[in-house]
Amino acid sequence: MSISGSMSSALSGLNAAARSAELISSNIANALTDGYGRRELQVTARRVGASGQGVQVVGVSRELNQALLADRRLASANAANMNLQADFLARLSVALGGPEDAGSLSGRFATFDTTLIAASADPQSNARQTNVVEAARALTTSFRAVSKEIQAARSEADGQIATQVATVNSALVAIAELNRNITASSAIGRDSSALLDQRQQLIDQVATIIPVREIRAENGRIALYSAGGTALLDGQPAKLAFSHVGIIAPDMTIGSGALSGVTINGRAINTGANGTIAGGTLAANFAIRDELAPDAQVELDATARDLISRFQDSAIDPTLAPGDAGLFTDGSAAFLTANEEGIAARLGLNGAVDPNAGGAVWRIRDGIGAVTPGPVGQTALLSSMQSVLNEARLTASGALFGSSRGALSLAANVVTGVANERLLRETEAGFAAARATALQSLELAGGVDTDRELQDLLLVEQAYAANAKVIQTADDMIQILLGM
Amino acid sequence: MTISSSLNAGVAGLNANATRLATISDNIANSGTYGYKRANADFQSMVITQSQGAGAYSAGGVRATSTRMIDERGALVGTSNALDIAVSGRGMLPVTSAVGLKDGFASGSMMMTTTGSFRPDSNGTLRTESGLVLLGWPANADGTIPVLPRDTVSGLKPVTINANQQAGDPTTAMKLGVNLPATSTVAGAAGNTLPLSVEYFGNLGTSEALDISFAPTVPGTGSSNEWTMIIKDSAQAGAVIGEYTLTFDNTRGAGGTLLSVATVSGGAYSATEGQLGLVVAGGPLTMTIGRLGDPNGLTQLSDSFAPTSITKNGSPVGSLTAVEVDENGYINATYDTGFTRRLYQIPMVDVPNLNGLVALNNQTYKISPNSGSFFLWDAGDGPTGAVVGYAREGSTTDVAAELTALIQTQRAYSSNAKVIQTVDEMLQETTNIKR
Repeated sequence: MSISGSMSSALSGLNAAARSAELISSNIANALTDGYGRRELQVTARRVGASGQGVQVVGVSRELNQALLADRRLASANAANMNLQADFLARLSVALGGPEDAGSLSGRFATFDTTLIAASADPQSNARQTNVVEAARALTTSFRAVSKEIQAARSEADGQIATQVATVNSALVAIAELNRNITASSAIGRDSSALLDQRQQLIDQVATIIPVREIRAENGRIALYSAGGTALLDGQPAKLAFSHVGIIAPDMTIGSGALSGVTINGRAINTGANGTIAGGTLAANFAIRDELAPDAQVELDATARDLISRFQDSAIDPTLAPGDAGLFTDGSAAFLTANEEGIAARLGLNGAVDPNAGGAVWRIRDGIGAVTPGPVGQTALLSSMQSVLNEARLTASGALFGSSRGALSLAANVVTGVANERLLRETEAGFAAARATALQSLELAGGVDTDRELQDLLLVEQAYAANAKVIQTADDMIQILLGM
Repeated sequence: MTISSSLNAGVAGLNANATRLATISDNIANSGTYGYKRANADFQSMVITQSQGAGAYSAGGVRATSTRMIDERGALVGTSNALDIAVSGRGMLPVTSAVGLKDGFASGSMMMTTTGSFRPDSNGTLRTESGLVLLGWPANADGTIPVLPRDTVSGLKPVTINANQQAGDPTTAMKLGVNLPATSTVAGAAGNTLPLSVEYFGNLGTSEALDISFAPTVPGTGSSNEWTMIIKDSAQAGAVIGEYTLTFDNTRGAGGTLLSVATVSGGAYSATEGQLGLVVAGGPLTMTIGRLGDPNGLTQLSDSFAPTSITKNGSPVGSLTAVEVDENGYINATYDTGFTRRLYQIPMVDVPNLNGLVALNNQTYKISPNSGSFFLWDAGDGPTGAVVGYAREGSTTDVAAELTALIQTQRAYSSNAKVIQTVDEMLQETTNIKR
């Protein structure tokens, strides 16, 4: 009977309108939720057998601009990568100090130079000799502090790598599980939008650490490959492995085997700038640990070596026997060129001039190896120390290897070199961040528009009322029939 | 005597209209019963005076016959249960009673119905609340339906669905879309081998992997654009199942696409299909790497190693999540890993004379000598219509028509009663002639 048919049609219309209102309310509620894809109800005319009968809800579609999402992921990974590297250089630059700052490495060199001049002007002044010793001590402390800062940054990077590897592992397991759930629910035609939202958030989490490429398969399944081409999730999640080291010394490198690289499913991968995981924060941490920080350490070591070598010379101080330590020491011993690696961390002051270690400050004037104080008026050693500090010498190692420079200029070069690189990286990081922000706002522009949702809600309300009216009319018609 | 024949005719009229009233009341009572077929009362006149121009007329009266209009079809009504089954067109569903099932479903106990709301019982057998059990032909393990006799019920089995069953779906085809870095085949390149691991599913639903490695050929000068692809199967302890030399085009327009594929070992490359005929542990597996000059398969462009699209069929072992019936009458199971498998086919029963069927309780019908013998059709074939899931067939009763008929019947009944009353009065008159 056709009246019951119209009632059934109207009922399906009521259902569809109610579902639609539910989705609109969910959209409005999640207008500010990150990673929420706007939902829309997909309806079609219902066909039962050969005849049409009302409306049918076929599913819920989740709107998403796949290309924009992929772009945004790569851009934010890149921005995070740049940011981390710029942060390290900023930290290093702060530890070294600015060229104009008295407390900076180059400032300490200048102070040491000044105190030497002052002491040679008045060689009998015990106070001025003490100033020289204290300035030398400050210089060694400065070297050691910067070196410690560099190694601390490496240690932190190592720790962060361990955390990030654990995060990626657990996120991949969760994504694999969500993949299964999404497949199961889309296979039987259920709405899997909430699961898709969750999965997108998890992929975003992985994507900042390792930039990923998402490959879609049937039934809503996805596979994840790193931008460098390694499978992170293909049915089964990949297992990343990394062993964390507690404390890192300058001589510990990935090449020496003391530090760990990352393995994916037991296969070692290239962690460098053009490796398979390049582009994200994981690669940035590897860059800090294995490239930026060791490079800075090499420069610092070269400067420290240059400083030690200038004073460890019997031509300057005749009281020194060959093989004896000069004013500056490696730990408490003489410096050997073979031990250059990490010298900045061990740079010390000779105990013979250090009152704290039982020495006497007059040895600055009379020679490190002098047994008794000499004539109080002699200035030969003090002035030759001052001149050797400023003498242009061939640099034995580091980036300025082979160029002829004074110790002060070498130190200033380290400081300005780091400052320049920091500026460069910060500019790059600024560009990357601007790009990521632009893409992010484009992505948000495609999200929930509450005005539009409310407009849709009005239409849904009208549709609901119209369907209810049809039911009422059909009821009236049956009443008329029964009233005959 | 003519006057008493009128009395008899009036009584016959009352009887006939009472019969019609019974059909109307039954129809209205079942106006909400799914699958109900309207009963119809037909009146036949009876004749006593046969000769033309006879002086007297004797009323023969009326006789009522009732028939059930089984060939009328009700409107289909949508529902929300996948196994609410109706038929759009001619044909009926084979069912048996739960009692018949206990006997081991002997031949002859098959009944037919046009619609039913089937749900699994404690044994997984699909049955309605009224105890009707759905019958169908079970599918083979690979989803094909065996050839069974169509004029007997011998192949039909009660449809039983085990809710906890699991099934796997092995991978038989795979498409590999990977970009290889062109810079790796230039003179002076490092020549690193690029690894790629692709998961596939074996015949037992286990997860296996094809380990594919791409090794560039680094020439002394210029660029070779040549790679050696080696495919290993984890299910065969890493044995090499294919080795190919890939050369890429460097001409303008077709740059970076495959120029030639030379088979070193393993299954041959088909240039027309763009496929490698690999043989993995479980059997053949075709791997599509693209035709020569095809920009969608393997390419060699720029400096990045990037899997662009890797697709494959097959799925891991999954549990049953849904059972649905399609328009061909196939009952398909959907598993949570996304693949579907055919479990049963529900044939359509058709008889030459539908109205000759014997109507039984619960809107079921039985073969009778009047209906003719049955034949089991594939749904949609021959005269039969399609099977429709998520639908019930509504009652064929039209309440408006029945109410109209009710008014007519009431009028006819009172008219007949009036005839009886009039005859009675006339007889009274006759009796009163003699005081």
